[in-house]
Amino acid sequence: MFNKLLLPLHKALLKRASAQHQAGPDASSTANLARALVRAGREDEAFTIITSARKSSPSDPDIKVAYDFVRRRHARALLTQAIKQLRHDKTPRNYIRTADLLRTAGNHQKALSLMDEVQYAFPDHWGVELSMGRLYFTRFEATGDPAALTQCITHTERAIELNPDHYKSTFFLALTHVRVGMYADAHPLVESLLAKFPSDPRSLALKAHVDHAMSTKESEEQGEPSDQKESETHEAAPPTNEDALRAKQMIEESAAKPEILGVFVFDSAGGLLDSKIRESDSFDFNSCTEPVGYMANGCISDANRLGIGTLESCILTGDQWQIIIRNLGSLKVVAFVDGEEGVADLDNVALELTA
Amino acid sequence: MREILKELNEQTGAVGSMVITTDGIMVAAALGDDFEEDVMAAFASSLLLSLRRCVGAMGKQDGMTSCTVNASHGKLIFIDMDSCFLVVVASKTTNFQSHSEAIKKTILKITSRKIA
Repeated sequence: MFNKLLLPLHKALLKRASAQHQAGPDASSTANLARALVRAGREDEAFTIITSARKSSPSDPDIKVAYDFVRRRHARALLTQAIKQLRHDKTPRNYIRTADLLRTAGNHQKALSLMDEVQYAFPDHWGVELSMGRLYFTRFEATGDPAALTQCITHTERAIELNPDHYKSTFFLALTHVRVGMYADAHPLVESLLAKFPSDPRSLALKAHVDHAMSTKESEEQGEPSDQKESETHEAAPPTNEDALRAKQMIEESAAKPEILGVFVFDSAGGLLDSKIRESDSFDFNSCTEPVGYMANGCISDANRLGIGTLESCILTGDQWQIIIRNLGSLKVVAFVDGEEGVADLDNVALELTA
Repeated sequence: MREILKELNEQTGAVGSMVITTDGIMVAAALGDDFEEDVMAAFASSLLLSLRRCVGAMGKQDGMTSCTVNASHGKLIFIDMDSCFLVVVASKTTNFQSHSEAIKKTILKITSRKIA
């Protein structure tokens, strides 16, 4: 009744949203149009528009919010038909579809009781197990209940056991492990996916994420700056006398430049060759071992992963200060520069210093 | 937002650009075919978060306003936009200084869009 009364208003809002979208079809106007279509009772059209927008702008926050809203309302609209179909034909497929729609519409409890019913009738159906896994994951995300996470993993593992070749089950389980930071558990699953689908972009992206997270976690657990371990595995040449002399020379030259508050010179293996710190309120050098170590070693490895080649320099700029990291091959230099003397010239100072 | 980033890429000749939050989550990206968006976002945010942590540990809790990474095959710049960072990936020869106006305009468009 109330909805019927509001219908003329929703139609007017839809007209306005449609005009705005035609005038400038961007993410925001598309999201507004989709919402207006739903409120005017045209869920199917809204779903088509927002699904297409989500494909072209997967990370846009407006589209994400509108997509969730439209998806929920679209599920509610489809639910009546799905329930009718289930009453008529109680197959696992119809149970799964109805439970998925209930989950999307936000009715987890009803979806769970429906799945309990179908699991009793079809105890070894992989699709039922996967659907239960998804349902428990949604519940875990909503409540943070660890028991729901355990149930999610148990059911999804059972789905994989029943149908080992199903891509989505394995990918979903790997993703679940990643979402809760269980990278070591995700790793073999991603490897098994890549063994079957070597060029699958989603698995490749997930593998890169898992590998990176595992190496960062390992370094943190060992109390090392990120990627120090990686650099240790390389056969770094021991520092030569020439390197030591160059380092000494840089330190001496920095002494003549009052704007340079600290210089640290590392060898190619990441060992500190020489350093000089000036008394200053600008930077806190009291506990600088870890951050400076990362800047000289981890930062270079992390930058190398970006796919833009080997790091040559990295310049961090703040309000009247700069930190300059330079990779000179056999030497790595980290310089802390005070900007009171003029920030514009700071890079030149760094270039002179490390030339 | 993707359209704004695409426009920036065209104006500056950048290979790609993206917006990531201060805690490393990608908001929008317009990267070329050579880059896998999720992977690039993961590595760029990992580098950014580590550097910000280091800067904080050195007494600069107010944070850095920008970070320029120069590498053998390209360069990358992170620019603070308060709650998130604009990341621009460009070829080695690109001079960010000469495109500062285009970058400033992009930041303005993104930040005013967020408020609207």
